[in-house]
Amino acid sequence: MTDSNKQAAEKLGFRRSINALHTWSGLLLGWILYFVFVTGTAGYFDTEIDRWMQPELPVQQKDPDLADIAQALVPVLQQRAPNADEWTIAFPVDRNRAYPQIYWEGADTEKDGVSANGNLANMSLQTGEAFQTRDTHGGQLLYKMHYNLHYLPRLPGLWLVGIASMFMFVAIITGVIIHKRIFVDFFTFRRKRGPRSWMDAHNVLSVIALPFHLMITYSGLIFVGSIYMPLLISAFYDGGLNARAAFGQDLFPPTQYSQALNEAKPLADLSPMLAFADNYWGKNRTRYMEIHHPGDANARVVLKENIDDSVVDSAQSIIFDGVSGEVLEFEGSVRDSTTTRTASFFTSLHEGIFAGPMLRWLYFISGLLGTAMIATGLMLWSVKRQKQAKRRGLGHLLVEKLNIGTVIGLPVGVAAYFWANRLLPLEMPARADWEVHSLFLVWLLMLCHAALRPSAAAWKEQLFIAIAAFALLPVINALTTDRHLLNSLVQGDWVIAGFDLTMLLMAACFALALFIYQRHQDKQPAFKARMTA
Amino acid sequence: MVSVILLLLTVAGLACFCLSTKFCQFQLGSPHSTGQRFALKTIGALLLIASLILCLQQALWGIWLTQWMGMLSVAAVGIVLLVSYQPTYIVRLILSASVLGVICSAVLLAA
Repeated sequence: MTDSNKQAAEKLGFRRSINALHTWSGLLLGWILYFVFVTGTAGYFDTEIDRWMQPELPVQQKDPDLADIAQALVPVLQQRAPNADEWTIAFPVDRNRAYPQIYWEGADTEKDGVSANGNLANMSLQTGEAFQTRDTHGGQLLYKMHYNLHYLPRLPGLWLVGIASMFMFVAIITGVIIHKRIFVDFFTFRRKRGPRSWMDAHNVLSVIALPFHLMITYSGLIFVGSIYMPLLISAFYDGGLNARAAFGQDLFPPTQYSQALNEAKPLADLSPMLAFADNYWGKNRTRYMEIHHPGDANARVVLKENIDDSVVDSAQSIIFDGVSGEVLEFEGSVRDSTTTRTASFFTSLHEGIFAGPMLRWLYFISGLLGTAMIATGLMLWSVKRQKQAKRRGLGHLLVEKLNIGTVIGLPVGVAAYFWANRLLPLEMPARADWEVHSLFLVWLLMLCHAALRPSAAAWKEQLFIAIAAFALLPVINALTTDRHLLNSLVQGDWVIAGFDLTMLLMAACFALALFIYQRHQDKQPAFKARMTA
Repeated sequence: MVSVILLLLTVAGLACFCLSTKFCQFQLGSPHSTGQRFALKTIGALLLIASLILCLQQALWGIWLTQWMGMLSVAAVGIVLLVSYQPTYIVRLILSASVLGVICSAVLLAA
């Protein structure tokens, strides 16, 4: 063998090894990754899903008057936790918070009769109470599920997702290495070519959103890196039980604006402070108002800027004297060190914290592309082996059934979560938990259905169930609440209307998939025979 | 308006790149000369660079850069589907996206 032949053979061997690594790293934890991507993608609209799942909430007020909110809610805090060390009012100035929220810290549990730290979300300015809504975990649960897998304890859940993310990272890198014609094939999708079409679809979905896939996997690993690499903290903080606490203090340094003098003085008028912030940052860009030592002679009012204008959390604060109302200090972000700014950058980029409506939709679509990439990868493994009938065994059957029950079954489970929100009795004990159980029970049913039915029939039936599950959600919403699509559109409530329309769009996507699948089957009797065997 | 211009520029740029590929020419049934392919690649690159410059000129360029990446992905999905299912529309897409892009840019400059 000549040297050049030897080199070519070595290269081929290397590429084969990498190909195998790509296949198995993608397949082994592919279903967990699919779960992470489905729930994580839904999590980009967590607040909007929260709103849909609490139809009792009124339409969100546009351009709220922050001074009015402060004036209405400070008396509420005075009444609930008069002896607290700190009060906070969170203003509804962005999508993350549709209604005001109040917090208190360091309350006197005996005198005030409340827990030391507490909060009330979705405050009504008219009543000074939180709006009464149904018991639900909302979109926040879907978001949290994507990193803690729900039923598992927090740490094992995080570890499992971390291992799956590492597998995905390996799959992405090896995918780039084995894809020789990555740029030449950028737009190549050959239809009606069996496994070749699945391969093209997988390649196209992987390559066109490659920056997103890399970013989301890497940032996901990095920003909980301290959990995956705990020894790093021990190494830098001299070990011991307090190492993690010291690390946390360095990452999120506690702020101490003043010491209480224990001398009673009334709180200054808050409206001029908010007007000052409006002039300084722009209208309604104050996210939080913190009142430290309220009613004390050394009270401080801290206004914190919104964080929607930077990829790195660089929000400023303005500190006022709480008695005289004069400006004392302008403070930069607490994340001033390179380390904390880097951590903030990865967190913001991963979660799209800064994203407005357009960018949020782009995040959502990119998430769907990632989900489709994983699904096509799983399908490809199965379809490729269908060609080689001799190699079909228990493993192949397991993959095929898991694919059906997860690729279609999981979205149906998510739809069931929304159905349960509308159909479970409002007074039901542990109602919110049963909404979540519905998701997993329906998913389990779909897995059982996939296992018991012939594959071809299972695909068709599950796609049909998915169409019905998503298309009927706006109908169920209309039948069980007064927030139906037409009403939402008339009221200009784009959050509720957007959710209903997105569900219809999802149903249309599943209908398209069913149409393509049906047509493909009709044209390929041999394929049909194999699938039903 | 900047978002619309950005989308149009990325669509037109990527569509030019797509038109220069052998796969697209196979779909269309009309091969291009090397010179034509080079010209299409150059125009595509210029349009994408123009869209990138537009992003970097914005005050919140970090956010716009993220948006640009997202738009590239979305535009690419649309073009892949178009070239696979309706390849003859690709030239019309390039022309309409470019013309609309110029009109929107003019409106933006005038405003």
